[in-house]
Amino acid sequence: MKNIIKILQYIFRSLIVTKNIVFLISIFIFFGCQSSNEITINIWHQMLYENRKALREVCDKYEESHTGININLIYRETEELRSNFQSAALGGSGPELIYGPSDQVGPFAIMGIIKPLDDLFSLSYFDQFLSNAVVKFDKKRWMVGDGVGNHLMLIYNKNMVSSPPKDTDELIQLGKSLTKDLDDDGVIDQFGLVWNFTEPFFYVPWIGGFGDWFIDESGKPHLDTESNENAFAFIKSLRDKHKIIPKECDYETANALFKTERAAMIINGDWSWGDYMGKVDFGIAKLPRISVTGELPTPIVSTKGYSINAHTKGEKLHHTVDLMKYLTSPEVQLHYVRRLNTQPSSLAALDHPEVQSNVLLKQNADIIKNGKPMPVVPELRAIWDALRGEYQSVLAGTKEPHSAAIESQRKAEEQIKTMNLVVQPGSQGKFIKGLLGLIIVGIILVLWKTKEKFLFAFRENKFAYLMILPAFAGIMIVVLFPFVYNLIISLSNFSLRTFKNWDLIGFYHFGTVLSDIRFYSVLGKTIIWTLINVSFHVSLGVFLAVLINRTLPAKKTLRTLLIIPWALPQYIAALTWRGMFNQEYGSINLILNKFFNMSPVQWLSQPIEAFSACIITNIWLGFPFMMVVALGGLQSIPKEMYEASQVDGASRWQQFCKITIPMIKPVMLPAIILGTVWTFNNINVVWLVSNGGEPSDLTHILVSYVYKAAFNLYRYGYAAALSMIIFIILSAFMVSFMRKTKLEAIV
Amino acid sequence: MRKKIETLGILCLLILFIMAILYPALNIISVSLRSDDAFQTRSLTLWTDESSFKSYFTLFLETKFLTWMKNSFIVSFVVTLTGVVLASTSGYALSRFNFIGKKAVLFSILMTQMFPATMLLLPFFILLAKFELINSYIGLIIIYSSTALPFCVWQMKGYYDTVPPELEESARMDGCTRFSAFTKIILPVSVPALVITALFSFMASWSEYVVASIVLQDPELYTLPLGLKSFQASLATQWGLYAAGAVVVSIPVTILFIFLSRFLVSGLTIGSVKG
Amino acid sequence: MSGVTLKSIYKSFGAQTILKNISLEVNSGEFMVVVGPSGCGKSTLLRIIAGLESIENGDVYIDGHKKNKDDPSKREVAMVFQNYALYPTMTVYENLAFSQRIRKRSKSEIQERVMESAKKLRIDDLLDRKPKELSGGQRQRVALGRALVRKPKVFLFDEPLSNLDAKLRQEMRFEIKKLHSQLNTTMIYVTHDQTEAMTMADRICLMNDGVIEQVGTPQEMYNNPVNTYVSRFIGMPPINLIEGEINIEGDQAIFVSDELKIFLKNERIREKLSRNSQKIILGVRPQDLHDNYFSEIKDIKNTITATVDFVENLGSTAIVHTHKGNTQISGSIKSETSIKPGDSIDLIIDVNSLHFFNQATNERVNF
Repeated sequence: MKNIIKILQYIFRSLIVTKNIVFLISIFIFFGCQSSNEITINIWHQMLYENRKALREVCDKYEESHTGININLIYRETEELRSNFQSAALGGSGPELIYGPSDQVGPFAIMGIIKPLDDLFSLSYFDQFLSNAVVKFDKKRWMVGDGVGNHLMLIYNKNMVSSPPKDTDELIQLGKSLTKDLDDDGVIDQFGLVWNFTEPFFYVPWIGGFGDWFIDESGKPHLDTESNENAFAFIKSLRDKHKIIPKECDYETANALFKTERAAMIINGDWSWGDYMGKVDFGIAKLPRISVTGELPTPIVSTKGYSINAHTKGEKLHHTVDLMKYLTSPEVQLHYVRRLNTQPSSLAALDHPEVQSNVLLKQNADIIKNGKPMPVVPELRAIWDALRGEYQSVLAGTKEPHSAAIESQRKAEEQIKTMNLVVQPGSQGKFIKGLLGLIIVGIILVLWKTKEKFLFAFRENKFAYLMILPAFAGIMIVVLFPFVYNLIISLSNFSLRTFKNWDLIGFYHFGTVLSDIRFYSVLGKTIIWTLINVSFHVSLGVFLAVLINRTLPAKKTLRTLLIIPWALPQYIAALTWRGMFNQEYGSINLILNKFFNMSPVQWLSQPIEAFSACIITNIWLGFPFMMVVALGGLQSIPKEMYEASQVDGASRWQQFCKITIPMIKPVMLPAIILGTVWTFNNINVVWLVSNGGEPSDLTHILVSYVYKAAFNLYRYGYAAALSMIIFIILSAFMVSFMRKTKLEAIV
Repeated sequence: MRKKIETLGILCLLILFIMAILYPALNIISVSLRSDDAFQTRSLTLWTDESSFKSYFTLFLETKFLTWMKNSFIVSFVVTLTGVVLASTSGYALSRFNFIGKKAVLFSILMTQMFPATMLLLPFFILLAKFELINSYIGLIIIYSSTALPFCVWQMKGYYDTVPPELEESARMDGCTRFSAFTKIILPVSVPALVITALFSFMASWSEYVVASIVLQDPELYTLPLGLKSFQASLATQWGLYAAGAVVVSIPVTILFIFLSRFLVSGLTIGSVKG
Repeated sequence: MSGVTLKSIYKSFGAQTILKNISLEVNSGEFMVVVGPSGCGKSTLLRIIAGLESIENGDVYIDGHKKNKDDPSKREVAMVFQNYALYPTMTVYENLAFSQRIRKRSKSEIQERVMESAKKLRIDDLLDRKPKELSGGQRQRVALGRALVRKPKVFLFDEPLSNLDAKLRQEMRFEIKKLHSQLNTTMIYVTHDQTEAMTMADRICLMNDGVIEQVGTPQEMYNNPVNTYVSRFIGMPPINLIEGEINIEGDQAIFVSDELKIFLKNERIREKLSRNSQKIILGVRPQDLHDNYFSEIKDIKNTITATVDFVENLGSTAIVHTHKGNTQISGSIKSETSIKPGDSIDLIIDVNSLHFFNQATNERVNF
């Protein structure tokens, strides 16, 4: 491995030197300016706006009193923070401090990419905090929180709700009276209650209210319970029977409705207060007691805090420890209390009169009492994932609560098993190692033997080789290395538990993929996705090209307007479309309702509708490319051909079939190949429109499935094997398609 | 007469279609004019009484948007330049010369499109970390140039295939070297294809997010998509700001497309078959 | 002085050998036409002289200097391509001036040279136009002009007229020939059209399948083709080749084929023939067949009565395609004839201008 990198390094350097682009590019480089006596400490965090500002303020203060120390703050969205830190740590870099929710401790600790804190801090340091602010895992301490909370509660608009509901019956009653159609158009304009109810985090408190908890002491899932079943049914009844919550409601929608006083109550966390202050006169309360059981729902209480990168060493480590002490100190926490009303984790801060006199925090402390601590085991991810899928099926009406509860337990157990599975390198692993070695030796031998021939060819066509070398080298470095890396990973047991000491095991993952029924269903969906998309792209593109290829007024303007979907950045377009598919407020349903008098379609919560939504978005994005290609083809058809066929008495349709189609075919076919490959591998649209496979992971295509396996479930080996299979499928398709259409000529 | 009615019919059809096509684009403009909390509305009109350019002011005055924009322009410019230089030279070699390994090169370039790009992220990162290219534009530029290259190389090769080789032969007899025949004669003829290549390289780097997010870690170095994404926190998106940013990000590409659309048709020759 | 010499050139593309042992001497100031069917390697030969193709074996001398490895830019030859290869982004003036600009000549000198050639070719009023605004003939002139400006040692033409219509082609043929006589520069002209070859060449080089069949003046090629291939290629309408045998009957040598019997005149045939009978191919040019009705020569023994299949009237002459038995014979006769398909015609063979070829080797047999 090292040697390969060295060789690459060599090629790379000589390439840069020969191309003399060093000078050109170096003008634009901004290396992190690290002069010798200055120390930069990087912190990656996921704090929201106000929190970000407050963090900057305290860091500025620290920099003032510690000359020579720079603090660099980098924001990443929670999921990205996790996956980027993993990549960075694997590459041997990353920030010194990472700030995030406590549930990331489990995976990070197992991967060995954060340091245990026990040796770095004295015991008396840990004793300064609430016990649940010092995150333990596997008998060691890994994270210290600068606040506790992050828990859900009922937040109500004081103008609409005089006193918060004590139990669920009251909630329903109150909700019904507050859910109104203000202008009598048959559409509800104001809701009693809103919240991001489709997410497991926002759901599990109710399981607690019905008696059980979703996870047991040892970190095993506990989902096949009556409580889970009842909670499923309860949420569904709120929506379908009592109709006090919207049919579809993601976090953004809920938040916006509450802020604009179109919802009386919201279930949200303490982090949202900052957003509501000054906009809504709000109060906070416990989640209402479940009337049937008489018990209180149990929100998850967690901490957010700092961990230290395992790569931090020497003097830097010393400064990092010092900075961490500062960032968790009572002084800083009190600053947060003033700025953000955060619940402090430091005992000293909690005793401070300012905290004692803060009404909000006092109420909050009361709410926290009913909470349960956030589990830090990595298995939590698998449980969330299994629960989310089944829960969404219940909400979509495709599963009964009972079977969903049982199924979610089974799935969670299965996922935990695959996640923790470490396949031992047996004889197959040794064989593969030997084989790889042989292949490398073989390649070297072949290269050595053909050296003369190659050198001769090079001398003969020096010009051609020199022209092609830079581009080819670039492509190969950027694609070949990752490809080979993936190939090796796909033969290895690289996963959560073997993050730093993986080994080759052979074709195990290929077997797993190919014997998994889910693979075939996702493959089937991918094929449908590709077929529908490409055929629409092509037919729509050709149709429009034919229309626009005649003499029309303002032809150029029309053509330009039609190209616009191609010009928009994909992720922007995809998110816009997601907004447009919103059931209550999306333009699509509004238009369908207004002009076609259709009832709103649940675009994003029903599997088939959600998949269609992805397809519609992608069709919109993709047809201009085909149209442009088709236009190019149409313009090369001589007019005489149409005139001749007119003389022969051909109809328009016959002309289209007998002249247009065959004449643009040679131009369209390569575009179709490319289009097929691009569509097959287009993760952006599916991931963004369906929010990562929702509902219930039923809208995945192979690439998004790969992404999820790798970055959400840590199954790198499995994901790499799956990518290899995708690669093989596409290559086979391309070769056979080219054979069939006799396209090899273009090579 | 019949022809006029027909044209009119087609025109109406096209305009209807274009309205449907443009709605999402206008929708985002409309969101950018509303306040953060008003993005959920039942109104279908794009301009309401509450609309204002407030988000745009915030965008330019209170965020680092201009810095990000500058960064994006720098990165995209260098990527476009390298993309055009590399694709035009290698496409030329692939079109004009028969040499050992040519087929293999063409196929392997095409093959690179087959592998799911997301799985390349981890190796990318490891590679860049080894070369200490994290948090620098070099790494980003290398990756962007190379990922856009396969398509661009094919596209350039396709175009060169339609240019008669006698042109540069003639130039060589007129006293040019191989290289100057290429630069003085073939490149000027290939302007439409070069424009397409430039456009593709530009787009690939202008709106790329995922790679940028692992390579760039200093907010001062952020490119536009990264900056834009930072408005979009998981539980609190500033929608007005985000939409305004999205509009501003889209404008340069859209303008480029509008200006270059006449080249699009003549220059996009991925499918031109020899002969 | 500024001739071109090729010495045993070999060239192959992959497994396919294009040129086999080609040696050719083009004298200074000579107009050499290389003619042959498509795919015979004639264009490759031209491109080798130009330096556009490399050679595996052999030597190329231009003006007495060995130029095997020299780049085209250093060979001081100019080439006119079949598709003209005008630079589409440049005006006519820029096209003409391009080679001079590359050589960094002064502006006034360039101007002078361009105007001189433009006037010669009567394209001086087109100088501001772009190639796509020109007609085919005009483009051809510009292509010629571009070569002319260079004042090269050797002009190379690669089927320059094949994209023009018949009338224009004839005009340009004359034009090029006129240029040659004005400039007196060596010109090598590749074509597949034997008429072009015959009308323009000082000497013709006939190629087939990668080898040179014969080199000679048009007259030599016509009168003394070295083999059946050459005889068939040169001359319009093509020669009649009849397989048969020569039998000696007493004093008389008689050519016999099927129903055909021709009494040969030459005494030496008898001496040369080793046996009493020999297989042979007889070549008779249509021009050497005469209609008995009009002919002044009367040779009753060698008159063939053949059946007319069809008649091509060319104005002054007519070509009759006939058959006798299984043998197809065409003759070029006076056009006053009123003969129609199906008629029989008496054709007198001019036995003084017969060609004989060996049946096994197709080589000429001189009696």
